[in-house]
Amino acid sequence: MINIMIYAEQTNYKLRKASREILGYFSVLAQEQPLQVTALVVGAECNEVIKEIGRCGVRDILVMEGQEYQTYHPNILAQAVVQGASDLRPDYLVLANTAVGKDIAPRVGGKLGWGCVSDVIDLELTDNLTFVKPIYAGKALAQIAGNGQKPLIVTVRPNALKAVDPSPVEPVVSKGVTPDLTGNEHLGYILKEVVAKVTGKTPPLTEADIIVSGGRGMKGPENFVLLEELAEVLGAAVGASRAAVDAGWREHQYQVGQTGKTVSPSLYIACGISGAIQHLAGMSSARTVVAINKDPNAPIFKIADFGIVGDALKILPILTAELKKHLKQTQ
Amino acid sequence: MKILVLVKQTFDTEARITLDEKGQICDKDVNRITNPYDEFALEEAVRIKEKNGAEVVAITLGTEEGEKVLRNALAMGADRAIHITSNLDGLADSRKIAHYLSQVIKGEEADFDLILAGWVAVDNNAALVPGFISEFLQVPLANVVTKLQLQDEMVECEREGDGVSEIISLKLPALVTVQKGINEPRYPTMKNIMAAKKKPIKIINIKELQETEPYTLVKKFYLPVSKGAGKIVVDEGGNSVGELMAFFTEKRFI
Ligand SMILES: Cc1cc2nc3c(=O)[nH]c(=O)nc-3n(C[C@H](O)[C@H](O)[C@H](O)COP(=O)(O)OP(=O)(O)OC[C@H]3O[C@@H](n4cnc5c(N)ncnc54)[C@H](O)[C@@H]3O)c2cc1C
Repeated sequence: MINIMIYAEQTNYKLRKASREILGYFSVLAQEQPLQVTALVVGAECNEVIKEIGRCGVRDILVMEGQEYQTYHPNILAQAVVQGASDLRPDYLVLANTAVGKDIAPRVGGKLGWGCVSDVIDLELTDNLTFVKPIYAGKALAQIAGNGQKPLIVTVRPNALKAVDPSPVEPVVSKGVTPDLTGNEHLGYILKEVVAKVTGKTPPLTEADIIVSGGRGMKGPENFVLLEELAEVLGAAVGASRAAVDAGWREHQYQVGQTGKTVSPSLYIACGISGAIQHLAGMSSARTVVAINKDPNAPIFKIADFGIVGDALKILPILTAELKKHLKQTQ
Repeated sequence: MKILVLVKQTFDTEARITLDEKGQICDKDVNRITNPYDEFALEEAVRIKEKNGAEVVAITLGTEEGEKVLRNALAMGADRAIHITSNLDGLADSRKIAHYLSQVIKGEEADFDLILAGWVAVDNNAALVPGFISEFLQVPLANVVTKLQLQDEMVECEREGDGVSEIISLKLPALVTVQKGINEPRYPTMKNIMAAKKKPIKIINIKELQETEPYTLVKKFYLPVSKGAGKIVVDEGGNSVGELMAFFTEKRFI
C-alpha cells in the first residue's frame, strides 16, 4: 500500500483548481491500485473545501483549522503541513506547483528531512511512483524517482494531469493537532500588506484552461482590448510575449515563456507572436495551439495545430463576433 | 555588510538538446550562460554595494565551466567568488545541492547579512534550492521578489504570489530570491571584464565537504514527441475565421 497525502490548497475558502485536479487524479487511481489517499486542509474556515474534496472522490481528510491560517504565511503554513505529514507518515506528499506550493515545498522538505521533485506533469505507478518532469524548458523530459529510503515531496504543474471523472464520496474528517508556534511563528518574516492583482473574472494564467496571448505584432497596448474581448467570450486568460511586456503593454506577471510563466492550457491562441524558442519554452505543453501571424515563415507555425497567416488586428474582431453569435445560437 | 549571491551555470536558452547513445543529455558543445534570474540577483547585490557599500561574494557549485559564470559575476561587480567544484550537473538533486552550499556558507561565510539568488533556474525549473537553504541556515526567505529595499536590520520585499503581490519585511540575515522586473542587469564593460580576471576565486572540491545522499534519482531522459505540422490557412478578408470555428467545434472548445 502506498500512502499519498495531498495538500489541498485553497483561495478565498474555495479549493484551488490545481488541487482539485490532483485529488481527482489520485482518487481515480486509488480505485484500481493499492493507494491510500488522504487530503490535508489548512485554513481559517474549511467547510466548503472539505465538501469539494469529497466531490473529488477523496474521503479521508485531515483538517487543521485556525485563525493563524487566515492570511498566507509560508512558515506558519509549512509548520502545519509538517505536522500533518509527521502524523500521517505518507510515502508521498503532493502539492500543486502554484506560487504557494513552490514556496512551501522545499521548506517542508527541509524541516522533515525529505527530498523534493517539483513541476511534474505526469506520473507512473509500478512498485513505486515515478514522475515525469520537463527540463530545459520542455526541450527534454526526465523521469525521476525518490531514493527509496525517505518519503518524497512532489509538486504537480497545474493543468498537466489528464482530466478524470471522480466519483463523489462523503468526507470523513479528522482534526489535526495544530502545531504550537509560540515564539517562532514569524521566524523573521513579517507580512505587511497584500495587494490583489487579478480581478475575480479572469482565471490566473497558470490555471487557465484557455489562454489568448499577444506579442509585438499586436502593435500597441490599445489593441490588447481585442484579446481581452476574445478572452471574455472564451472564459480565457490573457497572456503576452516578452516583447509585449518589455514594451510596457502588459505587466510581467502575464508574460509567458522562459523568463515568465509556464502554462499548460488546453488551448493557447498566439496572436502576433513569432514563436521564439524562449516563448515556446513557456507554452509548448499546451494541448492545442492556434497561431495568427502575418509572416508565413514565423516559427510559431511549426508547433501550431491550426495556423492563420493574416493580420491579427483584423481577424480577432471577426472571430470574437462569430463566437458570440455561436454562443447565442447554442444557448 | 556582506551579500552572498548564488549563481548557477545553465545551458544557453537557444541550445538544442540531444541525447547520446547512453540516453544521457549531450552537453559537449553546449554554450553555458549564467542562469538569467541569477543575473538579476547579481545586479541587485552590486547596486546595494554601490549605494551603501557591501562585500559581494558569488558562489557556485558545479563543473569547471562554472568558472565562466563566476568571472561574469566578478565582471558585473562581485568582489570575490567561491567555486565548489563537482561533476554534479544542473539537474542534480536540489536538496543535495542546498546541503553543500549551506555547509560552505555556514563555515567561512556565516557572517553574511543577505543571500540573493534567482528564484528559479531555467534548466531544471525546480525553484527548490533556496527553500532548502533557508531551512538549513534557519534564515527567513522571501521568494519571487520584484522590489527590494534595505532598512536597518530589515529588508523590505515586494513578492509575487498567484494573483497577488505581497509586501514582506524580513529580519536580516535573510535570503531573497528575485524575479524579472527587479532591475535591468548591466553588461560588464571591457575594463571590468579584464579586472575580473584578477579577482580571487576560491576553489573548494566537493570531496572536502561532508557528504550527503541524493533524495531523488533520474531514471531516464527522453525527448518530447513532436506533434507534426498542423493545418495552415492563409486569410483573405476574414475567410479563415469560418475554418477556425470548425476547428474549435471539432476539438470541442465550443
Ligand atoms: C534569456 C532570454 C529569455 C527570454 N524569455 C522570454 C520569455 O519568457 N517569453 C518570451 O515571449 N520571450 C522571451 N525571450 C525573448 C524571445 O527571444 C523573443 O524576443 C520574444 O519572444 C519575441 O516576442 P514577439 O514574438 O512578441 O515579438 P517578435 O519576435 O517581434 O514577433 C512579432 C510577430 O508578430 C507578427 N506580426 C506583426 N504584425 C502582425 C499583425 N498585424 N498580425 C499578425 N502578426 C503580426 C510578426 O510576423 C512577428 O512574427 C527571451 C530571450 C532571452 C534571450
